[in-house]
Amino acid sequence: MTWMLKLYPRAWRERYGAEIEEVVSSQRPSLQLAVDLLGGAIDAHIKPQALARRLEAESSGTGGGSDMVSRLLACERRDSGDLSMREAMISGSIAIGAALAIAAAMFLTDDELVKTILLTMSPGFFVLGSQWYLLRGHSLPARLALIAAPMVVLFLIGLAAGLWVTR
Amino acid sequence: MGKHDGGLAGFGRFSEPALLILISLAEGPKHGYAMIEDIEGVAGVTLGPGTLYGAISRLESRGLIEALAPENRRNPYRLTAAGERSLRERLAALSAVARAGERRLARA
Repeated sequence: MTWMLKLYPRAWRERYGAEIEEVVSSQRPSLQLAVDLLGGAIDAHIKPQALARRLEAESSGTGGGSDMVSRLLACERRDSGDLSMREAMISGSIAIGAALAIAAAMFLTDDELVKTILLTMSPGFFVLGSQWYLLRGHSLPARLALIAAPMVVLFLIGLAAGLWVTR
Repeated sequence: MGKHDGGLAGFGRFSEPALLILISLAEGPKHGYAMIEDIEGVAGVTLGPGTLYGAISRLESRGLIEALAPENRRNPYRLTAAGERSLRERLAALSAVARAGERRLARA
């Protein structure tokens, strides 16, 4: 999966490219690895601005501490792959809520295009909550981008399929 | 707590990986892959390479770690004096919080 390193900014690759390539080469390709690298690439692109804004906003030196303390005191947390009970319950609630909302929409609308789009996007809605928590460790903009991008793709696929069905 | 962030203000979501890297390097210089293995053994946390190098780049830009001469295509890093001070400060703050929590639990 070393090809994904091309997503990183050039300056970043010049500095860290060889060593991160060494690490990536030693790991088995997986969706988890792909998400981690994609999130890192997005963060590397926005990092200079994001870091500068945070430093400016946190001139009193606050921030970071409470997030880290709460995580480190939760001794059984893992950095990726596992959801805590609370996270799992929230993710499940979001999935159930999404299913109910989609079912209601399907019942209320007669528009085949809308129904097709909703059905196509439904898998994305169902995993929305779990994806949010699995992407912990990445900056907020990176998490939003990683979740929004697949939803946009699903929407476009649904739109194309819907237009085909209703032509 | 905010006053004792150990120089990790602005790290946001990378503050935990950054702390784990500092702890790993406190044992001695390591390259990226060795850090991942060490952190997994010590803390049970598996850092992906994207997360690891996101934290390394932040730590290096703050002068808390520095790169050593490459060895066989691997770049080892070591803790700087500033990094060691940051780590001590952060661990002291965490220990104080842990002790406070344990005292409250003992009274409950």
